[in-house]
Amino acid sequence: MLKMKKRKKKLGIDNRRSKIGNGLVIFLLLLLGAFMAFPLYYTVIQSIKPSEELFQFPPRLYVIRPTQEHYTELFQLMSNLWVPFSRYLFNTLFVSLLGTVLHVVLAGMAAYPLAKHNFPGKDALFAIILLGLMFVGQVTFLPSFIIIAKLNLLNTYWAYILPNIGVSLGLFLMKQFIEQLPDSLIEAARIDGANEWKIYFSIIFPNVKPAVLTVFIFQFVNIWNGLSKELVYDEQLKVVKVALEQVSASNAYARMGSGMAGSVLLMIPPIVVFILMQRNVVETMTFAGMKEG
Amino acid sequence: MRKKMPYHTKRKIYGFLFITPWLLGFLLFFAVPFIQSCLYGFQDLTTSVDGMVGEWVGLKNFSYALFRDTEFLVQCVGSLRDLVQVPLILVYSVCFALLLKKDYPGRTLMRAIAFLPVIIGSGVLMDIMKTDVFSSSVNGAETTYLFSSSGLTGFFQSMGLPVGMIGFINEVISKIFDLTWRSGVQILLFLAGLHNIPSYVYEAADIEGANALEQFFKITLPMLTPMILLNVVYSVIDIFADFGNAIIQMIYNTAFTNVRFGYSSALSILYFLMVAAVLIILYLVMKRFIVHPEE
Repeated sequence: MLKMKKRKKKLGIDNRRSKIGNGLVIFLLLLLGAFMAFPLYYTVIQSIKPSEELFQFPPRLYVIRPTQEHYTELFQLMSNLWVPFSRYLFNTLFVSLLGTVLHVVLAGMAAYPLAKHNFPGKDALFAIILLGLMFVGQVTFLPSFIIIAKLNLLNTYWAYILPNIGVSLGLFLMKQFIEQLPDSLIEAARIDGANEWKIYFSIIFPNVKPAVLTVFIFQFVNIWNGLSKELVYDEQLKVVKVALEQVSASNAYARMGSGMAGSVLLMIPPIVVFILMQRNVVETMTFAGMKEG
Repeated sequence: MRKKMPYHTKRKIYGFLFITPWLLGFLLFFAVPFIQSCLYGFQDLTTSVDGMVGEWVGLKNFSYALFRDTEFLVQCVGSLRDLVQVPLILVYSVCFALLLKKDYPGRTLMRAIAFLPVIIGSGVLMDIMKTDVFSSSVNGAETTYLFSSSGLTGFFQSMGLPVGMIGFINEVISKIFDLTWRSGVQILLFLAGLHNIPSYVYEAADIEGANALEQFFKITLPMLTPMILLNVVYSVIDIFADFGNAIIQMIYNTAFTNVRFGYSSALSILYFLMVAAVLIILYLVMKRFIVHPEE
């Protein structure tokens, strides 16, 4: 009885506190969110500063006289290039999207038997795949460059796409999610006469949609940001990032502003992809820890 | 085990079929380069007109790295110091995840912001931050002093604060900044872990009269232990494999600036062994604290 009373009293306090608490929580989150959003803000600010403000030292965190001159300059530079800008854009989107889709589908396909089948050497295989998670691309960059050269893939789109297919992260995430699908679902499909192809494409794949979208984002961002300039030297086949680097690097100081503008533009596609799929990502991440039950 | 034998073998075949395309890519662009790079560790490589020529030198590269190179071991020990960040990241991301779990207006937006570092962190943006804002102090993996060159210092000076204090504030701010940008994935994994705790456990604890603090230490924390392990492993790998890391830089420069591919490979193998050892030790220590709620 006494306990109940105490409990009720506490509930009252809790309710009252939760309003102040909410305010505090929001304040804290805003503060930390500001830290996280700062680099984004800074780049955008730098890109709209006129040149005389851009080179001020120490740099200011705000802009006095905003201008879009760097953007117009950038577009002018880009339109004067030998290869039209749309070509670079097409190259980048083509490579990023194809690389991402191939990775997602193939990694999912590999993840399904790893999660739901039993076969000899499964654990060993998975351990090797985990090893792949631990490596930075730079360490194996040289040997893989040689392999690409030996396969005669240098200077083709495939030099960008193929190395990105066998990445461990996507497989690892997909496996974790497929494992959580109830076995009964697959059994039911099998009893109804579906073969493994059918099970994968019409049962597994749609049911791990959040995971698929998460991996899609990870991979798209990775490819978009990670395309290196060493693999392709034909101007027609280069990607936007490399083209922008060439433009701003050819005269680093005079074109610093347009370089900044270019960076802002380059950040847009990953952010757009993220916003489009954000709901699902957060859901996936929430789903990640779920056990079958 | 659930099905009759013939079907079982068929499934195995399907299994291999499904794995093959991905595995081909993995073998070709990770496993083979990795083994190749291990082999380079035992060679002296020189470039000639026919491409690269390797001469087998046995363990020379390794012994040089361990006993003669004045820099490598120092850097290794230095990078171990970065492990201090791991508990900080964990505490911070648990707190952030707890905050994000609550229901309040704008929760979705905050979750999106929490994910921001993952989306753009490794990309163009960080390049700019490193070469521009951090330029005064980019030497290796040391935390970059974000605001030391910016207007904030001037602001504090005009407020009449002593120099030591300004330095301290700068340091704190840049550390917080570093922390927030390293914790994106961890926060989301913890968030997933928090949602995984069934609400009836809390209800029962409520009825029993446990307060919020007790609930956190007796329910939330133990239930999160599997996620903590996962996050420790992730954070350690993330810190050690960071391209800004002094040792990764050293390995990279040895290969591409000094053109000593063999030696660079030896360095990366040694470094990898060290990271693996750290992970195994951490795993063995932490395994004893993991709570399995089902049992």
